[in-house]
Amino acid sequence: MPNRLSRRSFLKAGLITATATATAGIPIRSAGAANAQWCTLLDLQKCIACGACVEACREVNAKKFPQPQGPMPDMLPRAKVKVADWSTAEKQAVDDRLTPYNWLFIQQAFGEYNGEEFEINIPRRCMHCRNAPCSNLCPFGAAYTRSDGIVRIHPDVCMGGAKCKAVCPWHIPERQSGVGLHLNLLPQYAGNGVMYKCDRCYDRIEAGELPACVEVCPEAVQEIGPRPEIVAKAHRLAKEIDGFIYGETENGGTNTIYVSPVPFDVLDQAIEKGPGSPHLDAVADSMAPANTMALALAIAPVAGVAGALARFLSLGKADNGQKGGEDEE
Amino acid sequence: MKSSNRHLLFNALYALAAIVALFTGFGNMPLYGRYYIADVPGLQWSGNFFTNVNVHILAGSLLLCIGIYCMIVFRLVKNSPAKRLTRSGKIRGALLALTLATGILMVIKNLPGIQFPFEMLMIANFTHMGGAVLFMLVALVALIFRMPWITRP
Repeated sequence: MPNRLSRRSFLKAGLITATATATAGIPIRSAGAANAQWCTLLDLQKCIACGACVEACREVNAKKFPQPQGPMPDMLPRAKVKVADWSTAEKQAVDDRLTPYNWLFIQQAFGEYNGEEFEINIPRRCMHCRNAPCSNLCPFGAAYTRSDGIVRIHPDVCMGGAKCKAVCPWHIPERQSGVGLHLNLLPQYAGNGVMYKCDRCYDRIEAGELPACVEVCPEAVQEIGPRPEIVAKAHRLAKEIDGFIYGETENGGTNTIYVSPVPFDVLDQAIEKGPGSPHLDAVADSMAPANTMALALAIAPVAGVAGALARFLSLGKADNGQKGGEDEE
Repeated sequence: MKSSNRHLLFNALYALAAIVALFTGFGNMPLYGRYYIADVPGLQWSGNFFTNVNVHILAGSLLLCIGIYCMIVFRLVKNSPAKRLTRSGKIRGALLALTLATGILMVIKNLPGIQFPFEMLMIANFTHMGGAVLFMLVALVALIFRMPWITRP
């Protein structure tokens, strides 16, 4: 795996970056920059399930796929920690669900809507949420959101605890055991490999290229652009076809927007769901309660100042501040 | 409120906030499900990452409130206890301040439309975790050896 981090190089890099950050100021990207996020639009009328996007994704990202060396570690407690090994040739070939070696697959929906039969093919991968819980709640910072809207899991930092999968409303990331940083730390007692998912070809984007799935699609199902433009296009298209939109508001808004002639609750009933095959149900903003909690943090200093003022007033009444002070231990 | 009662309440609040913040802090890592903590009756909530982070932020807010209170009261009163901080108190205070500051950064980072560069995120994360673990160890040592925050006048 390229750029593997050792403990020493990790600490060294941390120190160097700390110094650089301290001297360069804090480059927090704020709401203004959120409009610079790029978003994909998927016109589901066009998808013919040819699989070209799946193939291209596998080919282009093969260099990023896990390469376990040697046997899987004997992780404890065995009853709780299950090995997830997709590295055999047979399992690596699986392309009808999400796996660590397959970051995009085509989900198929057959059924009837408004008295007419439909067949809709849905390319499924990470939605790249605008306020992604996987990125917000990753305890190690391995999952992070880039300023271009890509949510990426850094394979050299991820411990494979699968918290990102647990908090993702679609449970997208998939684990490969026997790889990653945890093998150099406490392989038996903490971590369990690395989590993998679509990184929207961040390296190709950096090189000025399109994500592989967007580029190779013979039907031009997908397009990519600045989110406001893509959202406007999605609304125009939905109006034109009397269709429906998914991804604009789900989980507080994502950078993947689907437009379909069939409502998504109908599609959700028609698709096969399960491990590696995400749903198409409505999703509330999963970070909303935690962000409301931020209010408590904003109120805390005010409450501290108010408490101190109250203390002074009571001291003044008692002895005009002659004695004052606390002996907290 | 009597001084001794106020003392007791203050210390209880501080201890509660610190213990809950540390417990939920560890719970932010996927450990409690793995090591049966979330199977203990009454602690099932600790295995829910969203509940866990909410309680963590609440406990951190209480610690911040206590910290601000102490900074103001101790700095401004006569015979200021701030000038009487023991070495253990100074170390605990510094570690707590570092942990709270990076914790605030993490909460800000979680707000919609805000992203930190990867390197900064790593620094904030590991400083937060390292500060908290060191604070816990120093606080335990202080508890075992009965080392006070401040010297008595």
